Amino acid sequence: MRILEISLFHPELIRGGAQQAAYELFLGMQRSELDATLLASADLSGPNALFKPGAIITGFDGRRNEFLFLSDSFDHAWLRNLNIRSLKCFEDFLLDRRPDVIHFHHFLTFGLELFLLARRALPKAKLFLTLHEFLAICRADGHMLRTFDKTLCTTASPVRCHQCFPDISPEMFRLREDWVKHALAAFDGFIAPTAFVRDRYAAWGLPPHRIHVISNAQSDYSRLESWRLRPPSPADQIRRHNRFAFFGQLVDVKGLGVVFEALDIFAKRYEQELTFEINGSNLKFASEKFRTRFEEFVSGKHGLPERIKITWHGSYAMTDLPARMARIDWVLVPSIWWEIFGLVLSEAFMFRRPPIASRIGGLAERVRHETDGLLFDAGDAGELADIFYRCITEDGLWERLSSASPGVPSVESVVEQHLKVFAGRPAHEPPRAALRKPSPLPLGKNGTPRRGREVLRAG
Amino acid sequence: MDAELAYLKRYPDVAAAIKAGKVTSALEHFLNYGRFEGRVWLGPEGSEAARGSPPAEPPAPEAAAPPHSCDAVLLTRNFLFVDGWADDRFDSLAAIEIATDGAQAALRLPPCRYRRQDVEQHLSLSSPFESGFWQLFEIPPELGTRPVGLRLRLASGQTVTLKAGNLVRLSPREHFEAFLAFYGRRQLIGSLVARSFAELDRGLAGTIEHMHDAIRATRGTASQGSYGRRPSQPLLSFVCCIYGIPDFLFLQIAQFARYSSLEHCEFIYVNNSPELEEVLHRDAELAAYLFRTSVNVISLNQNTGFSYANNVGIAEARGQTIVVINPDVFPYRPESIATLSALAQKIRHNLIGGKLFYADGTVMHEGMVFVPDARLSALARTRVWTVEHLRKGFPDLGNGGTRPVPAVSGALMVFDRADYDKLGGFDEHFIYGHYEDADLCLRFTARGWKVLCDAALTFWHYEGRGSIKRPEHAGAAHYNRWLFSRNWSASLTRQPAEG
Repeated sequence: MRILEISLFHPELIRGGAQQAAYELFLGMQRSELDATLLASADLSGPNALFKPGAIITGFDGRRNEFLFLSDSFDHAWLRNLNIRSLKCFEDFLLDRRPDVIHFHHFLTFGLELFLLARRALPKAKLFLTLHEFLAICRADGHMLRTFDKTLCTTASPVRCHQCFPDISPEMFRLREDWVKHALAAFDGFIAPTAFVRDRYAAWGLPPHRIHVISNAQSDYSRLESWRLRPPSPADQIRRHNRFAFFGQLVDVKGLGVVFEALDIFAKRYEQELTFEINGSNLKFASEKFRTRFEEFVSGKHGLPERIKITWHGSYAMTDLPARMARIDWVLVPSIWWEIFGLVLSEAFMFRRPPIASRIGGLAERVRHETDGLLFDAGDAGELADIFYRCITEDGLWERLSSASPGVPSVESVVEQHLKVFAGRPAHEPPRAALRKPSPLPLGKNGTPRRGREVLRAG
Repeated sequence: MDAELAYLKRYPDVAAAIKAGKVTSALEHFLNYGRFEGRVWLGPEGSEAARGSPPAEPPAPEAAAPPHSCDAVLLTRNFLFVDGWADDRFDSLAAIEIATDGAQAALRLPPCRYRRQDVEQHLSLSSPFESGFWQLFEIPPELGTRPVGLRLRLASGQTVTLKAGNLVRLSPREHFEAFLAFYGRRQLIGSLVARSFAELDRGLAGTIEHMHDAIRATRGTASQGSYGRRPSQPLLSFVCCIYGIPDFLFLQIAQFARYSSLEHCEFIYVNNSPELEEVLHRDAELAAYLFRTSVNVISLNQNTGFSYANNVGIAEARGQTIVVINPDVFPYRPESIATLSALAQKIRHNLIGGKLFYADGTVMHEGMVFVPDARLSALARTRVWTVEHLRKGFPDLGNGGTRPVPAVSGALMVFDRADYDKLGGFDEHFIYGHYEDADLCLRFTARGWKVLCDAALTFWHYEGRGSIKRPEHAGAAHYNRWLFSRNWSASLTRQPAEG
């Protein structure tokens, strides 16, 4: 089976969850000795030096079966590719490679036309699309947040979308939906990383029986030596679990504002010490209001008491995760939008750092409340402040949740599920017991896992 | 500081609108919008050449002249439009005159009047008063381009010379558009339609027609491109006029391609917006490639109106069955296209429209009827006709079949090319748009042929979304309504209204 994986961006050029999942899947297919090719887009927001005069598809550092699709004419209004050479080159590329399966991960930067072209160029090929977000449904960057008050939206409709974009008539949204559904009709099946996504798209009109739920591919970075060989910390046995962290994009919808508000409440209600570490970047994409608030808190100007310490560590690569995870206890996922999958949850689970997540979208689906993490109502800073207190003071809570961490499914198993779907069979989500457990952690005297950071300190 | 700067300083929102590209100049804003919003156009402070309404100190060009102002004189080689106001409550304005040299009036016309609320405020009037005056002159060739003098003649015989120092020279098309924009937006005490009919009957229609003729003579094709493999004898030739919004070319073909192969069709888009030319050619090439159909773009050098554009498109069509379609009309269900294709077998001497739906699912059109408007007819003292869409905005009754109707919308009409040729096509005397479709239907039935609504021919029509509206369209609508009534009132009066 010859497979073509088509990814929005290459994660080594532009970071992002969708491209990370696509690339992990591609690498997993290569490891499984499948005949897989990657075509990842690059646009003018990335390094422009990649663009070559007259070329649309080029290689990537001479890597075998990795190609770049150079997109310079994507139209965000109608999700179209306005460069006819892009269309023709793409069709020629398909005819040249002749894949049996074409697996798209997005239409951004490519254009919906490519779906139709793929169907036309290779009528016998199987076409699949992974639904990484809701842009097909929602013009507001796929967030499904009302633009005028940032409340959560559950259903798109011409009039409701017009309310979010008063300059665009309801009819144009009807036309947008028609055009998107026209292009999506080219697919044999869809892959949703969570049941939440499947249900939302089914409600929108995609045939439910053609949407398969398969978890995103994600390597287990807890298998890195930098984590596995980290010695346990004696200090771990005597300290409270009062270290919280955020991982991800520093943009409004990721909910850091809720954490800041919760810290304010915590400072007034409780007397415990607490540290909050922020890992992430792309503050430039946040609103000015958010940026101002973020800088106030991070710089200390906000006036939190000294017992509450906030540190910003900047962006991180996946290989940095062991070090970053070693110095924290809990992973906060306070998103205020419909988080589709929550890659951060995978990162938290693989390092046995119990997540504290908004009860929303894919987060609510993946976190088992009181079993392997804690949930709170999205945006409820008061509840989050109380959870901080509980996490710090409740004996055995961290150990209980940490030990129940489900880990992440192996990339190989995710590849296997994709192959089943490509072959026309159901993916059959594996029972949770089948998921590979995180690598064994060194145990302390009382049998609870130790964390590496403290060992390093002790050493 | 000149008058433009004074206006922008007084109204910062206008300066912002210019910066945003919504209007091109302060004068354009004042003529098209400002005056109707009660804004004031003032010249330089203390300047005798100040024009506008109302001036800080009413000019007194002649000893006992009533307060007045000449706000705008728009001039082309052959036409002059003058617009101003006068407080003629005590000596009424009898005529506006154009003089060449000396005292002899070369041209004299009674003034047309309109309401100026800004003047009413300035004069502290307690009741509405049509202080505004305007007139559109056709300048005979013998006057040439010599400087003109303008004056008002009052009922007493007194004349008042108007200061025309801020005379604006425009191209014929700009002049036409500026006049129509004014004509469509002027405020009156009374019915705009009734007054328009009266003014047009008094001779204004002839002047407008001549202006329109002058512009029609300059129409032409700027570029033409054919994309995709063009069938020599397409089953269906779609002809679509584009104005202001280019997006629909690609999207409309995509909507057709969603349901059917388009290899036996051709799409001909005639562009009335020269600034969209390149985008349309680009999208035509993309659509032809992606949807494997024939797409032709004919880009015209100006907004030539619905009739001319469709006539140009139909002349280019290779098929015998012509589908005139608006850019915001799309197939309602897969069978819609099959139904359309089947019409080719029975189209001779039939002009067929379909059942059109709004995006919300209610009926937009299932035929049109001609209804005399009792109120407007009483006010205008002549029969004024309104074209109504049947069941517009109502739920679909699910009624099927084909039935004769007085007319069908030009948003979607299907006819045989030979029939169209015999009729001479759409009447190009209508300006921009409106009423050409009804006019064609009436000419069709006048021949003894049939105008039909086929309920199986179902399409969406996102009415009003496929093109843009400009101020001049409002003025053109008055003229077109008058023209339609003049052409068809007698005939329609003889037959009972259907519906």
